[in-house]
Amino acid sequence: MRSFLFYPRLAVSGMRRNKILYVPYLLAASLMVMLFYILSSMTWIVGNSGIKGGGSMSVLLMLSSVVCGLLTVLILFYLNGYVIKQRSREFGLYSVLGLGKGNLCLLLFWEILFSCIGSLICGILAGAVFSQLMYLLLLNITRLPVDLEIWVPMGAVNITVYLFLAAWGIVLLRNVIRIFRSDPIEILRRTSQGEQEPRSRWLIALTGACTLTAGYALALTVQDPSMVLAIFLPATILVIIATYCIFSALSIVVLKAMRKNRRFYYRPDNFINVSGMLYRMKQNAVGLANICILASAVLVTISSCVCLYIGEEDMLDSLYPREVAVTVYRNKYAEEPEPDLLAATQEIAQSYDMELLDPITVTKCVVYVHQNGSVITSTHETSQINRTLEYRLLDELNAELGSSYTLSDQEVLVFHTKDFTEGMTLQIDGSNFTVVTLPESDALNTYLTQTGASSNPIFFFRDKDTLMRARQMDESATLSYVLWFDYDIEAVNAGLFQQNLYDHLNCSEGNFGTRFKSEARTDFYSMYGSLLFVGLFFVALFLITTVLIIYYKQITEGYEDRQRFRIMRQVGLSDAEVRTSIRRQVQMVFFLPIIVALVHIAFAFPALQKIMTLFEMHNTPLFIGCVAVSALVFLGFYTGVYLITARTYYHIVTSAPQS
Amino acid sequence: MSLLEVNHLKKIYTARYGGNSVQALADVNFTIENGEYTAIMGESGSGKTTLLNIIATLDRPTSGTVRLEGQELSTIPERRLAEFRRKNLGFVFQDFNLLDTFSIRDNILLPLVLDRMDLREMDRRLKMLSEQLGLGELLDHYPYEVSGGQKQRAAVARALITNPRLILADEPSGALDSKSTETLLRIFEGINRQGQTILMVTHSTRAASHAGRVLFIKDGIVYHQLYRGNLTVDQFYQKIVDTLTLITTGGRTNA
Repeated sequence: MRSFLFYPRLAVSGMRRNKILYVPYLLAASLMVMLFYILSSMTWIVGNSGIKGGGSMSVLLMLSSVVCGLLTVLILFYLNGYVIKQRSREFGLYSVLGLGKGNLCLLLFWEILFSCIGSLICGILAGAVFSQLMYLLLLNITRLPVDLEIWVPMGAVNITVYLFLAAWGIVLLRNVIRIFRSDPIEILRRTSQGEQEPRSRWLIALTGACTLTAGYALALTVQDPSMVLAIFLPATILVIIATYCIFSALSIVVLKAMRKNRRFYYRPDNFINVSGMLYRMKQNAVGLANICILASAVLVTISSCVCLYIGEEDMLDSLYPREVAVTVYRNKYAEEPEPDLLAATQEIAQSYDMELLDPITVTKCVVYVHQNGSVITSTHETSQINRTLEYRLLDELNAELGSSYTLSDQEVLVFHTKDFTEGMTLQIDGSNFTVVTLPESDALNTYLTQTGASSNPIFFFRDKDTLMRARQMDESATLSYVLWFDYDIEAVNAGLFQQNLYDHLNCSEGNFGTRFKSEARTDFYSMYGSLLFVGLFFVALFLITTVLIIYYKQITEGYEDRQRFRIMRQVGLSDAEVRTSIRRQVQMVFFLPIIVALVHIAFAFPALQKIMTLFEMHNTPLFIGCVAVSALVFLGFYTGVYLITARTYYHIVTSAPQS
Repeated sequence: MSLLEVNHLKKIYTARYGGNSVQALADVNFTIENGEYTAIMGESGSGKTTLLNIIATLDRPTSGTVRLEGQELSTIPERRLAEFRRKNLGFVFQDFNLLDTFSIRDNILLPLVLDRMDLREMDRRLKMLSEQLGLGELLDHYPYEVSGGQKQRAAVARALITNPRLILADEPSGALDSKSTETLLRIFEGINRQGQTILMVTHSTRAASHAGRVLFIKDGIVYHQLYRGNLTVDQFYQKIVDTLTLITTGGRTNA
C-alpha cells in the first residue's frame, strides 16, 4: 500500500536527481523573491521613515515593485518551460511504468509546493537581512542622513507570499495542462527522432533587415533632443522585431549561403561548424534574441542610471550657473511694466547685509516651431513641432562679452551652426531674417554655460522690439527675465536671505519664481539616487534571467550533442578535434547575442546621448565612459557565466549516454 | 602476413569502486586474411562487442595484442588514433550512427572532409559508391527522411569511401526488416567479392550464413569456427544452426 508520503518522497527524489536543473532554478526563484521583497519592503520603510522626499521615493519604489513583480512571474514561467521540457522524458517513463496523468499532476504539485515554500523562506529571510543593508545603500546614494531602524514590514512579507503563491500556481497550472495534453509514449519517441532541417525564411529575413535598417536610421537621424523621446520607443520596437528576425531567419539564410559555397564548406572546421550552427540557430533563435534584448536593456539601464547619478554635479552646474535664479515671466498680454530685477534684488540683499556676486541678467523666450528648410513657422500643432528655439537679446551678449556685434532689424545671429548657415534666410511668420553666424569660441561657450543655456539653438535679435516681432504669432510664448547670482552661503544672514527673498520681491503670484542650487541638489540626489537604486534591482533581475537562460541552453544542448560527439569519435574525429569544434560552436552561440547587443548600443548611442541632454546631462565623455565600463563589466560577468556553464556542458557531453 | 592478427586478447572490466571485476575476453586468438569475409557469432554477453571495440581502437585490451598489417594497435599514440581509424577502418553500426545535422551526402563525405581531400576526388568516389549502393536520389535527403535500410546503405557508403583496410560491422542488420537485411547482406557479399575485407559481429544466423567464415565466441574465447567453402548460403545456414545447437547443449553439459 502506498503511504501518504509516497508522492512527496518521489517529488524530492526527482528534484534531487535533477539537481543540475533545480539548483539554479530554485536559486533564481529565491533571488527573485528576495529582490521583490526588498523592493516592496523598501516602499514601506521609506514611506514610514519621514525622510525628505520620502513620499515621491516611496511612489517610485512602489511602481518599480509592481513592474518587478510582473516581470518575476513572467521569468518564473519562462524558466519553468526549460526545466519541464528537460523532464518530459522522465515523465514519459513514469507513465509507461504505470503512473497516470492524475498521479503525475500530484507529483508536480508536491514538487512545486516544495519549490514554492523553499524559495519563499530562503528569499524572505535573505531579503529581511539584506533590506537593512539596501536601505543604508539607498540613504547613501541619495545623500540622506542615516537613520536606521530595523524592522520587517509584514505588509511586504504578505505581498511577497501572495505574489509568489500566485506565480507558482500559474506555473503548476501550465505544467498540468502540459501533462494532460501530451502523450507520454509520443514524448519518449520524440527525443530519438531527428530534427528537421531549418528552412530559409526569406520573408522574415528580409523583414529583419528592413526593420533593423529602419530602427537604426531612426535612431541616427534624429537631430532635435525634444524629438528623441518620440522616436526612441518606435526605434526600440523596430530593433526588437529585427533582433528576433535576425536570429531566427537571417542567420539561417547566411549559414545556408555558406553551405552552398562548396570550397568553403567542405573543410573540416567549416563543415562541422556550419552544419552544427544551422541546427543550433533553429533551436535557440528565440532564446538568443531574448538574451540579446535583455543584455541591451541591462546596458542601457545601468549606463544611463550611473551616468545621471555621477553626472549630477555637471547637470546642476549646467542648470544652475549661479546659486540662485530669480525669474519673472511675462506672457503676451501682461500689462505689468518690465521689472528691474537686478535693482530690486540688490535692495533686498542690502537689507540683509548681503552682496550679490557675479549677477547676470538674461531675457529669453522659448518657442516651439516647425522648420522646413529655411522656413520657420510657429505652430500649435504638436505633431508639427520639430524644433525648440530660444530667442535672446544681442545687447545682453555684447554687455557680457564686451563685444560690439551689430545687427539690422532684418538679421538674426546664431551660434548653433549645424543647421543654420551664414546667409540663410529664415522666414518667421512672414518676417524675413538673414542668418548671421558666429564661429564657436571659448568666450561664447562660457557665456552660454554661464547663462544656463540648454541644447536648443539660440537666436539673438537686435533689440526687444525685433524679438517681440519674431514671437508675435506665438500665443503661448512667454518672455522670461532671469537674474542669476551667487552669494556668500556661509554668511550669517544667508539663511534668512534665502528664505525671505521670495516674499520681498513684490510680484504677482504665478509670474515669479526663485530657484536655489542647494535645494535642487537635494532633489537631484534623491531623484537620481532612487532611480539608480531601482535601476540596480532591474539589472539584477535581468542578469538572473540571462544567466539562467544561458545555463539551460547549455544543458539542453549538452544532452543533444552527446550522441553527436560519440558518432564523430567513431567516424574518426579525435577527442581534441571534437572538443575544439564544439567549443567554437558554443562560444559562437554564447557571444553572438552580446555582440549584436553591443552593435545595438553603438547605434542607439547618439539617440541615448540626446535623451541625456534632456536631463541636462551634456557630459558626453562621462556618458561614453559609463557605457564602456558597463559593457566591459557585463562582458566580464557574462564570460564568467560562460566558463562556469561550459564546465557543466562538457561534463554532460563526455559522460556516457543514457540507455 | 595476415591482415589482422589477434593474439591472447584479454579484457577485464573492473568497477572503479569495489573489487567486482568482469572478464569479457579470456584468451582470444584468430587471424583474418586479406579479402576474407568473417562473421563472429555469440550470444549477448559473450564478449563479441568488446572484441570489436578493441579492434576498432575504441577500447584497450587488458593484455594481448591486435595487429593490423603488422602494426600493433596499442603502440599507436592516443592523438594518432582518430586518424588511424579514419584511414584504415570503416564502421557500420546497428543503429546507423548517421549525424542528423548532415544530409546523406555530407554524412558519407564526412571522413573525406576530415582528411581534407580534394573536392573532385570526393565527388568521384561518392559518384561511384552511390551508383553501386543505389543512393542516387537520396543524397540530398536527411537521415530522418529515409528508411532504415537506406540509412544503413548510407552508413556502408560512409565506411567504404575511405577505401579502408577493414570494414567492422556491429550487428549491421539488427535494426532492419528482412527485405532490407537481404539487400544489405547482398551488398556486403558484393563488396567482399571486389576484395574488401569484412569483419562482422552478429547473432543473426541469417547474416552469418552470407560470410565466408564464422567464428563462434563464448565465455571470452573463440570456441569454434566454420568455413563456408563451396556451400550455398542455405546449406551454410543449416550448418551454422547445427553448430549452434551443439555448442549450446555442449555448453550446458560443461557448466
